Amino acid sequence: MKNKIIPDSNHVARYCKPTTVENNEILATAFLMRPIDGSLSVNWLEYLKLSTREKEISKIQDVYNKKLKVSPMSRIAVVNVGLAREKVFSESDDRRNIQFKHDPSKEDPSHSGIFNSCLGLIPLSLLRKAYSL
Amino acid sequence: MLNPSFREYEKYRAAQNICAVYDNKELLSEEIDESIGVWNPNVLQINQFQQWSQSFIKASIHTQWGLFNTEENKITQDSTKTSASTQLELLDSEENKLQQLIMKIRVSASTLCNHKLLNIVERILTLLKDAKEEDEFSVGISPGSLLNFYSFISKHADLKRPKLALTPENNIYASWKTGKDKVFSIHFLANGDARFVIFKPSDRHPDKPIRLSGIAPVDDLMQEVLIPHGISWALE
Repeated sequence: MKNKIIPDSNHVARYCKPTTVENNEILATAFLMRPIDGSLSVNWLEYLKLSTREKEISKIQDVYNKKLKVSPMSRIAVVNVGLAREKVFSESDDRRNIQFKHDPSKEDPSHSGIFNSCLGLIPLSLLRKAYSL
Repeated sequence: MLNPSFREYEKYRAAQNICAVYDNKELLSEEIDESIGVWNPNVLQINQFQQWSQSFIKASIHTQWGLFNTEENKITQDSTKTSASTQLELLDSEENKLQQLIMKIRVSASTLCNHKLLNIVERILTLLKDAKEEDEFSVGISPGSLLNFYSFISKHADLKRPKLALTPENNIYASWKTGKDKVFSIHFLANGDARFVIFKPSDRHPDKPIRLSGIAPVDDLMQEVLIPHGISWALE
């Protein structure tokens, strides 16, 4: 359902382009939106209803392969929704309340977005930290 | 036979690497046989090197004519109003600037035998290749942002080699990090400014890291922002 809030206990995956990754380390720019985007694209993993994280990632890889020019040097960041929300809220200077919402399409039913994440470098860096934990 | 010095060879390699990305025959003689000459300076033919040298000098002269004319950069920002062919010409112009700047940095690094800078150039070429693979019609890396970044790192040679990435606008993003709570990252904008973020531990409250962010002219960044906030851990 479009705009459904993703529960804090769930996880999303973010495709990280090779230009945002160095030596397997995902840098904060992986979580930077283009000016034309209204939200940061992610995929809701639990929505897929698969039994393991590996199967979820494999499914997401299939979606990315159809939608994007996937490079072997790209990476997928998995972010816990609640942890990321709490970290950004408690540690960003404007106590930013980011929201994870389902935003499906026919080709990509688990597609979702991180809203209100724009866009100081601190929230970006905190999102990267959320990934690192 | 010519036995070019290391520096000359590095200049040659700089041109060759850029050609690999752009397939720019103007900078690299088509007559050069890669199997014997390109990767082995000991067997590089004198006429091959001379041909490359002439191309390099030509490129250098173009560079001196004004690599980053701000008026030209303004045109690019307004490119949505221009025709498709004009946009392609502008893209070519931006790419030429970028090629020349990367070559300039590479040659500078080679001349100084600066391995850290050479390593940075290799990373920049990788970023450029990845960006072009993703969108062949983009410039890959913003020349203004790269110039801004180069201006910063060339003035502060004692900084460690940062991790480098690109933003969605193809600007350079550099990040230094040690441990869990010492980070400073700089987003080099094309206009001479930089956005920065610093995370550092608090001496009085070890469980509460200090977080700072803002925007500053790149020229002021070290003296006004980074030194006062103690980034000595990022120095070599």
